Amino acid sequence: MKKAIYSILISILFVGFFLVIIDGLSKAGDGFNIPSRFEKVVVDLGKQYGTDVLVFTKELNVPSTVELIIQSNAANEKKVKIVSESEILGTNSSEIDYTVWKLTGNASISSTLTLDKGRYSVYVTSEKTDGKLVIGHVETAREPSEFERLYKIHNGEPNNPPKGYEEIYSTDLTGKSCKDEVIYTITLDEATNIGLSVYTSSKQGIFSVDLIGKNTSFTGLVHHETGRICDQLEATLLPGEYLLKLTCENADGWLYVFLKQ
Amino acid sequence: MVKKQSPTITQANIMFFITAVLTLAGSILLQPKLGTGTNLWINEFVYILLPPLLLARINRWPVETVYRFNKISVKSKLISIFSALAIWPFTFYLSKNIKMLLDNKAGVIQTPQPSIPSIYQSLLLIIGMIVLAPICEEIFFRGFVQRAYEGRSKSYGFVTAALTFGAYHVLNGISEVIPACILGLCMGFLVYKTGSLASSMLFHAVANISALIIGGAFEMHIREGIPVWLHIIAFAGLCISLLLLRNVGETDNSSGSAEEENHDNTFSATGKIFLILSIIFLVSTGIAEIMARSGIVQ
Repeated sequence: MKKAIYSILISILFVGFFLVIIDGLSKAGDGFNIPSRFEKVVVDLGKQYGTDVLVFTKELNVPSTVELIIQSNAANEKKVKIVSESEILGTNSSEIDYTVWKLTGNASISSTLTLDKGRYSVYVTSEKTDGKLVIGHVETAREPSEFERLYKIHNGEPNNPPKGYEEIYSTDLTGKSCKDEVIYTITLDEATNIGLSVYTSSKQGIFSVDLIGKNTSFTGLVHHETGRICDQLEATLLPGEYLLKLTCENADGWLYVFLKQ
Repeated sequence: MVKKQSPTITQANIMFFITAVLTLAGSILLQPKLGTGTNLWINEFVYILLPPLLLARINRWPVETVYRFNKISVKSKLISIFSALAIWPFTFYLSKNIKMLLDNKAGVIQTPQPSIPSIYQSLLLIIGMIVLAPICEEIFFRGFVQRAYEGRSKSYGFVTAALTFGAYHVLNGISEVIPACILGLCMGFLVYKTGSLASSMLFHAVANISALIIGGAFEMHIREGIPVWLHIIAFAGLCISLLLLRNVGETDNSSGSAEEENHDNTFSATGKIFLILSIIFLVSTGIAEIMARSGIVQ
């Protein structure tokens, strides 16, 4: 048995060395950390530079969620623009811009967009520099009924909660002016998993809904610059008080907040 | 002076303290740089396997007999495999309940979004869990620590090894201590009965494979609390495992008794000091987890 154990240990040691070396080589140099389920597109900023340089185009055959992770090992300011043929649900346009600086390791810009079927393209604007920009993207088909629900919210019907969620607050934003007004308090006696969905039909002015706690906060759940839909944000919250705060100026439409607890 | 032909309690206590400290310090320093998989391999090979093998080499102990590298019967192999498979849901159930209790009473540790390991790190982790850990940890805990404490009595040996095995797992989280103690008791009992590390290595490997495969499936069903079926499976599995372990054959290998006379069962002052140091170190690690959960430290 001693021989068998030593043989296993020695052969496994070779396998281990091989894996450690390959792992080291695959990481060497760039410091990027894009999960393997993402399709990775690498932009060499020494070769692909300029204004709105097309990086890739993707055809969506069905309504889908597009998850994006963007990293770069170059320190200059770069713009990444997503242009969709269809509307980007929860926004007022079919374009979104991200500003990217140096982001490596666990730091990244990540975004989840819900798009109808059609093509979307990704463009980069950057000066010539040493370094790379990596865009990870993965497309997942949405359940038709779920997409329909989000589409209704996008088209001005925010009172469409997901299954299992209950309304905790709603208001007409027209004529409302407030800054960090507490609209709801979640009090937890023990650590709890919660789900939060916030939707608004506002298409103008300034608005923002934030969840502020002692240990955990989520700012800009819905925000005039980033989107009108925050769908099923799930989190484990420590015991304590969490304040749902509304900031609003010259906005219109309705705001709905739904909670699953 | 005649050299002892098997480990002493003092050696076991010193090595256990050094291994625990190195595992924690090494993991803090190396895991972020090398990855979870590589770090596990270093823990198993360098801090856990190397000390008992080096000691055996220095003291010229016959490794096969001292660490009980003996063959076992097919029946013992089957009992080792199926008892591990049966008891694993119970230890998972215990671990989850303790974790939920800690989450509710002490709070949840706020950690940044974990980075997803590369495919190579994942492979290292899987191989490490199902091949390396069963071999290295069994040589250390059942081969070395249990053997050292057997000088007092066989049952004292396997119970102490199980307690140290459980305490060592506080490095993986407080919720792992009691489940690891229970698994340690089963593995120690198997070695005590069969006189071979083969039985506990098989048990350990099957328990870790279950954690990888069944654990993932169970996790998906317990987000909203422990379901009724898990209560049933856990306790039914415990009963089946105990019944199986009752039927494990008495020592397939009688080699253990020959060394009994060479055993040093004295508990020296150095041994006591290192035992106290180990307790202080592991309790401090547990307290640090509670403080992190309560938000007192980051």
